Amino acid sequence: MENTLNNNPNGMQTVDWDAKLESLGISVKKELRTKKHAFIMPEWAKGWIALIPALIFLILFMIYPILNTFVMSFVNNFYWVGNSGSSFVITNYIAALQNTRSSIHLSWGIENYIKVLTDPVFLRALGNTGLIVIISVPLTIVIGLLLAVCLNAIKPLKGLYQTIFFLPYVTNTIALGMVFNAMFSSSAGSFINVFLHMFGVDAQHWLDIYANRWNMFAVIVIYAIWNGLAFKILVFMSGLSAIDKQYYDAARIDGSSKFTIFRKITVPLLSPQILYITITSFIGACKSYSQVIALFGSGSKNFGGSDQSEWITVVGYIVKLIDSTADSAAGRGAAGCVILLLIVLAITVVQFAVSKNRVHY
Amino acid sequence: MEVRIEHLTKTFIGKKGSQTTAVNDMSFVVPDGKLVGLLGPSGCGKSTTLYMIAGLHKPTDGKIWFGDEDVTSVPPENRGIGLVFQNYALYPHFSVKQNITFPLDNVRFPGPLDANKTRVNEAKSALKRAMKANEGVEEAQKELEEAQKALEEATKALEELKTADPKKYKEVTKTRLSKVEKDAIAHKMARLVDIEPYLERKPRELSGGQQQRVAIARALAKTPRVLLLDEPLSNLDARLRLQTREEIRRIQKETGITTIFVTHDQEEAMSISDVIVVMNFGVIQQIDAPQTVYDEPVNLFVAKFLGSPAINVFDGEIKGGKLYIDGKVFDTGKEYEGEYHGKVKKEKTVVKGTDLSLDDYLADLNKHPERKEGKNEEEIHALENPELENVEYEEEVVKKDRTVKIGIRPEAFTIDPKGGVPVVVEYVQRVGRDVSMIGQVHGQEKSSLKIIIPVENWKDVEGKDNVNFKPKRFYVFEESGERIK
Repeated sequence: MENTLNNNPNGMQTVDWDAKLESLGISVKKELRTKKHAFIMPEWAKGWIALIPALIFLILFMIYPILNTFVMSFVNNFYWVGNSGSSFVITNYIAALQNTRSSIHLSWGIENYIKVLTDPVFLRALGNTGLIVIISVPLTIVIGLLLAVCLNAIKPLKGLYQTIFFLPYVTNTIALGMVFNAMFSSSAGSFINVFLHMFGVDAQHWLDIYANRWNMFAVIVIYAIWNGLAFKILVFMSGLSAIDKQYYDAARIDGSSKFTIFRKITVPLLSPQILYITITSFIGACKSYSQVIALFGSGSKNFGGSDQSEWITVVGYIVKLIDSTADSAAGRGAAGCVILLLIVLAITVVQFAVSKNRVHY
Repeated sequence: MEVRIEHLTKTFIGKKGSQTTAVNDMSFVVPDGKLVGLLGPSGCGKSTTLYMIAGLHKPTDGKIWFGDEDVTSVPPENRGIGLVFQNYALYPHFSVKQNITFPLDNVRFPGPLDANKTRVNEAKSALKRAMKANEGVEEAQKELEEAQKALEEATKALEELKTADPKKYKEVTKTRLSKVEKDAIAHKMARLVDIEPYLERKPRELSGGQQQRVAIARALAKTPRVLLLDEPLSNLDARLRLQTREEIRRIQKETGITTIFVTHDQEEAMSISDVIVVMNFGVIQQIDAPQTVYDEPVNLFVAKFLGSPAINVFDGEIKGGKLYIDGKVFDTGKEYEGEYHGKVKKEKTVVKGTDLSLDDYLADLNKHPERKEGKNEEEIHALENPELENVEYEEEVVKKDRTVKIGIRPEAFTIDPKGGVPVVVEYVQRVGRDVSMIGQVHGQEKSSLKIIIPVENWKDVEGKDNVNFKPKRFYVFEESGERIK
């Protein structure tokens, strides 16, 4: 034990802990070491494992239904597949494809497409949807952009205004529709009619069966714009806050007017957000459905007017067909889906092509 | 254009009402056609000063003059300035050419009839005023008639010109620059800053130095009266920095535009300015030619801020009118005989919220027993054990014998066995044509010296632990920073 005991100047004996511990096999110095893994998984395997949960749901609820829709749209007598009507069960598929059940006589073809494209209701739905897209999309982008620029410029109560403009986004579409329904009620005492009365406008029928087609359309467009504004303002504002303030200082020194700055600096620098919003709101407007039924109320298949289909949209038309028990209705619905998809796809491609030289990332 | 700054002050008010004075009562003059560097450490108010000259910040107090014109409340676009931002702020979606011509898009010439129209309008309002006051109505009416007549004549003449000489008419009625003119200016500017081949490129396709030059071209496009540069070189790498600063000097010389630029890099300021304004804490420390600022710093801050490696500072002592280092007389002179009047910053511990020390506070508490009345034990305990805080205060002092700071630049040392600075060598190395040495003044553990001597003296210092140096030049400062010698 002599070597672990030291005599210090005071005559006291102290233990040399370092030597003692070391002799007992306890390491005193801690060395930095990285933990070694016995098995190293390749990166791609990790990626796939992480993807599995999402993939399961994607296949189940996205990819399978999409494929299903394609197949359905080319089956002229889809109603007869299986025994339980327009079924989506995979065993029925196998049965249908193999034509094993004697009761099934599958006929393949483009009959559904022909029927849909010659259906006056579908053409009306297409026209209605087109009108909603053409009017509401540009308006909502312009209004959203202006509001975002204004909101970005103010300092006091900025948070409050932002919250107010964001409220529609967190509110249920149907609830909003009910509020609009009440505000645009046709009675002389409704909010909007009273408001218009102040400017000497007579009480109007807005949404009931006596309403003028264009009155209904006005309400639909106002509702669509207002409902979609919140998200657009949010995106534009985040884009605006990313623009370096020095560009504005530089432009100010150059003596540019507010409008020139907006047109030549803000808009081009915001162009990625504008493109994103244009494409998403265009697709969203093409899928218009809930806005219309929310406004007219009384069920999921009321699109206004005396025939309940005055402002029917393409999606509304598809919903109506899928719910229907008529011959090959489901197949026609599927055909409608595919047509809508092709239209949206085509226009989106055009949008990307047109924006190529106008968007500055 | 001469730029005159008079008593300029800028106070920022924070969110919670706190005030920060970024620039404090600043006055200086930039002579016409000169290049002036505002030099100071980060946060010293130099950029704020520049932005006030640009008009982007509004001064809290003071005036800015461009020649004889008071521009203090003139908006930036009407000041006739060009500003180059630290990160250039080139519009990324414009080509280089568009960037340069963008300021020109907003240039407007007065219309040919503007002067006459203004005269008519003025006469009209004068007549109204006269009628209201019922005084001099006739004269005002006469003036209005004359003005209207002049306008009519001018209009007629213009009509005649339209048919007689359409080319001339077009020139006279022009209110903005044509595309051809703008392009010509863009090319001229691009040639000046040497970026002509890149006019059609986007800023991101250029290197940092090229972008910088585009920014300068843009600032110069409108032929500003004053060119302002905010840390123009800080985003460039070392080699480009050297190149670009010479370029800036050349462009400034060629155009002869009064230029003010901001930098925290003393070398940069020294190498291109005609005059350096050294700032700290929003206050001007010294205004002089670069070499003067280096050779004759007015205070310790300026001495420390200029020079690389930085000046060596160590403690000395004034006793009986002589300057001592390490107990030995280092220097004598009249400068050390005078008294020192000044303020010394000190710290003391006081009871929070009062100006009393703890003892004074307790004595005061005992004198006023009524303060404890009607309070429970806990509150009395709190009264008797108050929270303490440390505060800084300034004490007026008058001293004759005192400690001082001695500053010697690294290159000002010469080896001399009888020299007054005994140095303990810690590290010595040959670097190129110099010998660089790190050491301490004997007896002063805190002092860390950096000495640079010519390489011929290598033999004299090689392997030695102690070397005596004699400074060719030195500065003596009070503890508060003022220069004594």
